[in-house]
Amino acid sequence: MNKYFYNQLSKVFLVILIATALITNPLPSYSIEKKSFSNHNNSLSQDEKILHVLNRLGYGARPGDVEKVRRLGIEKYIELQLNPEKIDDQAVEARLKSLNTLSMDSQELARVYPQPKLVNDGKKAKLDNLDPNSIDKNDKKLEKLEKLEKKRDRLGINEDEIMGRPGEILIQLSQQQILRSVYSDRQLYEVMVDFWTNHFNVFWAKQFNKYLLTEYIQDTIRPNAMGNFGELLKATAHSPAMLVYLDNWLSVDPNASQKLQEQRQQLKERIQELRERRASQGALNNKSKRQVAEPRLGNRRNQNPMLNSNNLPNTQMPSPLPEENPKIANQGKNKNRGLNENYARELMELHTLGVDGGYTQKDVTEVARCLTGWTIKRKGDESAEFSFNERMHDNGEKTVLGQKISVGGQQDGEKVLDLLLKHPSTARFIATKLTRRFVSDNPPKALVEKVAASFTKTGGDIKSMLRIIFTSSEFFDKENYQNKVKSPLGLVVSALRTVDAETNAGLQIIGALNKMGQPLFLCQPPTGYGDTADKWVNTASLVERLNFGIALSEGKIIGTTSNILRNNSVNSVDQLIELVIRGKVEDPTRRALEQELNGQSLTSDKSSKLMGLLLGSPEFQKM
Amino acid sequence: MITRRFFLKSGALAIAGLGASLAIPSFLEQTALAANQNSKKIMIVIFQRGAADGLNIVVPFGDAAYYKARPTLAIAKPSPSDEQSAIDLDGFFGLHPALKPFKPIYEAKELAIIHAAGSPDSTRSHFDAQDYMEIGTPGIKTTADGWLNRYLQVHKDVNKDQLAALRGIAIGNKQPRVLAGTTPSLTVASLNSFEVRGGTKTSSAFETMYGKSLDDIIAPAGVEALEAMRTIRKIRSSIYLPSNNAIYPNGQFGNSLKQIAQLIKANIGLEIAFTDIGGWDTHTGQKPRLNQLLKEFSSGLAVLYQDLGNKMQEVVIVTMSEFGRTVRENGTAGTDHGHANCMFVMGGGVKGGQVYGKWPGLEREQLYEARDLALTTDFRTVYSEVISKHCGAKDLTKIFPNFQAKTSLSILDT
Repeated sequence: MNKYFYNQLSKVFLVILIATALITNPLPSYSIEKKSFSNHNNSLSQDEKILHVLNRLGYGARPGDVEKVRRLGIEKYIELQLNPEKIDDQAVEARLKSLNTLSMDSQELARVYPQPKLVNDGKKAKLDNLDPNSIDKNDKKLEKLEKLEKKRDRLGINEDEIMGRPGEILIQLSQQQILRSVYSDRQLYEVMVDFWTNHFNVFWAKQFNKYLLTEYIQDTIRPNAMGNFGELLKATAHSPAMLVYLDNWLSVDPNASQKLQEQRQQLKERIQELRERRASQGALNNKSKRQVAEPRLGNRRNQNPMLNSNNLPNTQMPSPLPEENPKIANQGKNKNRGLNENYARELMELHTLGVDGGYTQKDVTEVARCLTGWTIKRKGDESAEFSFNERMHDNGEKTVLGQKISVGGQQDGEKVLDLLLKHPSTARFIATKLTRRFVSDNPPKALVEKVAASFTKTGGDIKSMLRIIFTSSEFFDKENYQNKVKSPLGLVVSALRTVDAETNAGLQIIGALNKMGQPLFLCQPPTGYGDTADKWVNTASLVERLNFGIALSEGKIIGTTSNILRNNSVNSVDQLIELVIRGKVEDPTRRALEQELNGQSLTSDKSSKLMGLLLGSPEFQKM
Repeated sequence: MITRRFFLKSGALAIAGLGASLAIPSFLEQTALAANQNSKKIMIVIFQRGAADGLNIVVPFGDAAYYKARPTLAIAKPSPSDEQSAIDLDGFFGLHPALKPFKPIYEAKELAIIHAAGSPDSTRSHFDAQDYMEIGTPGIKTTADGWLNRYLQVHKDVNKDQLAALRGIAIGNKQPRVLAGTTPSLTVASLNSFEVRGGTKTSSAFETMYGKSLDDIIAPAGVEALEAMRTIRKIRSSIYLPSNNAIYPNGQFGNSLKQIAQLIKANIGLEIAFTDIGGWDTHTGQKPRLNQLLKEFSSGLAVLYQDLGNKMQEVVIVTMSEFGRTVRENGTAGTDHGHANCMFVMGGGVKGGQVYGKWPGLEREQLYEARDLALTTDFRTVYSEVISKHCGAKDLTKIFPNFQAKTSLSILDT
């Protein structure tokens, strides 16, 4: 596609995407009572088992996959999927080559995809060319312009280097997920990446997470997705993206502001002392006097984010000091000025123990106190790395879940994470979520217990838990066959795989996910996207599902072609069903196809049309 | 020529509509249109996304601090000779001049204003604040559903034989969080776009598929969607002619309101309608932008009022915005993120012609966090009153959990 056109399209798209997606959230739905079909017997046929494995461990079958699993044997296939490093994935990596943002760090991203207001649309030139005599010192516009320029300088923005708007980063991040999900043979790994991306959800559009999320996905989530849960948890806890998303970087010991003021006072006195000493030496003019005083503060800026944001008037980020930031002062209902409980709460509610995991509001506050000082060091304003700040930390004694914590410093937080990891509620909560994802919306209790026991025994080894699930009788129970609804991502990716699509995962595909209620990386609430049917089944998004299948089949998606009908001759409705659904369909589905065919012959147009209907069938929405 | 083409086009549509209705499969032989809905109470919720500047919308011209804080942006005190001055409401408050269309409704006592209202949470993030107003639990992010969805869930008349999804409809590109939840509802970008690619022929194939499917996970939603589509298709098959010579303003907002009127008049059992209007985040160049937006906003709502005519007896329109804007104007001819705001409530049963709520004042010590209009009315107080008095919801505890309105404003009769 013409690059200019693509850019224009992406701008238009982004406006729509951001405007509509950010403010909304998962969709309405139906409360569903599960009813099982009466079956002849309770075991799945070999072919059903293969399909089940391909649907649950991955995003459905691509042409040839069923045969591949049959050849290899189901158990071996599962074991291979559990060891993704043994699966060659170069083909998919090659497809990602054009996504240049994936190899950039956050600093570089901020520089080459700057916020629109930092892009020099002639403003800089205007400032340079201003007649000094005409400058009105009170003109706030000028002041703002100067601030913007300073920020540009700090970021190192160079006009020639700019490659686009931050939205491009989101597009590429979404594209990599779709492309990997469609083409990677490490299917289970991709499913787990998605699973943890939602478990440890971070909202792309919050503050400078626009620049941090690429690193978060690639360096925090992906390396740990099949490893150890504890390491994954700790990686997220130390990630700037999570610290920003759930505000922990702002959380300050309620007494810290006083400590800090004292320190500042000391600093001021020392500067004053220095000035006086130099002045008495009579060797300094005004200008160099400033140079003496400021580098000291300047150096500190790099170490201390609190001083940093207080001293940089232009920073977009609010001061974490309560008295200077009313927002923070007001949090914690004034009792705990400076403390922000957001991360502490979600850490327990959503990341480890679960909402009924046995913690109290008091525990939330205590965990928040333990985590004070877990903050970020800014790199050029828009990017950051983890940093522990002693001055923000509450070193008083804390009690979390009945245990005293008084190690002090950063170790208080580390200790909390260890405590949460060892808590039986965490084992059960993670086991429940995994079983729900892979087996049933109503996870069988006995299996959950087994998986939880594995968590406890292995210290959170993800592979071990998954292995127990995939080798359980519950996993292959007929009752759990085709009993889950695909998420929009699952639907879109499985449709692309089914039709043997050649796709660039372009804007129409990203947009379809948006319309179905799952804009990637834009889930605002910390819950992440859900895994159960009630989250995804609703009237409006169902219509989008139907339309996506039709558009895909009829070749109406730019940048995407379907090859399946080209590579296979289809002479009957049954053959088409076999090709798309690969299993049985209900009578009404077959009748609908026949009704559409209306006795005519299966031309390629007709086949496309029928394939579109099949991708919209109830059967294809499930897995 | 134009007339003839128009006729042909609408004629064709009518025939297509007729054809569709003749071909209704048995499972769809129902009712939505045929059902004779008795006078149903309807609430229309309008979200002004982006944080509208309540202080320049309903102007406290009687508060001297207002003029001190806004040397260039303030709306002048009412003056008959100045078209740009505030429209006097009660000697203290006045409407922004672009809200002229509201004046007659206010005088007819069918428009009430609540000032210094909004969400009590201190956040100044658009996302968080909109979220809080939509899930109805300010400060608690993890609430799964929107409060309008909970309303539909709690306030259900089980005897009504009608399509559940048509009880609550949002016009917009994406389902608003306020409607998200387990109770069916519908979100359509427009009545025209709620359609399957390939039209009636394709949807009839899907009707076959979903209508008789034994699946109980997704098929019921499919049936619901296809039935709703059928109803919507019927509604749009005839050209909509607004009543009382109403002419909706051009643009998305006017269009959305027009479609809401169309849905209300089609008697499909609509109870909740929602739409939004964006662009209120006026950090820079506020004057012309607000002027233009308020024109669109007020003329749209006034035309809806005109179009609905007597039907307004059954309708209450409520507006909200996630937070207000700073009392002080900023250095770029705009205002920044603030706190409390104003809300409009319009309807036949509204005790209008009044500005409700306690005015907290704009002197520095009266401000919230020393910069913003303080909040004296929780937005949930306003909605609680509308959904209990107007819509007849009895149990509000599920709709607004952990919230008890401290005072009743008595904006509505009974």
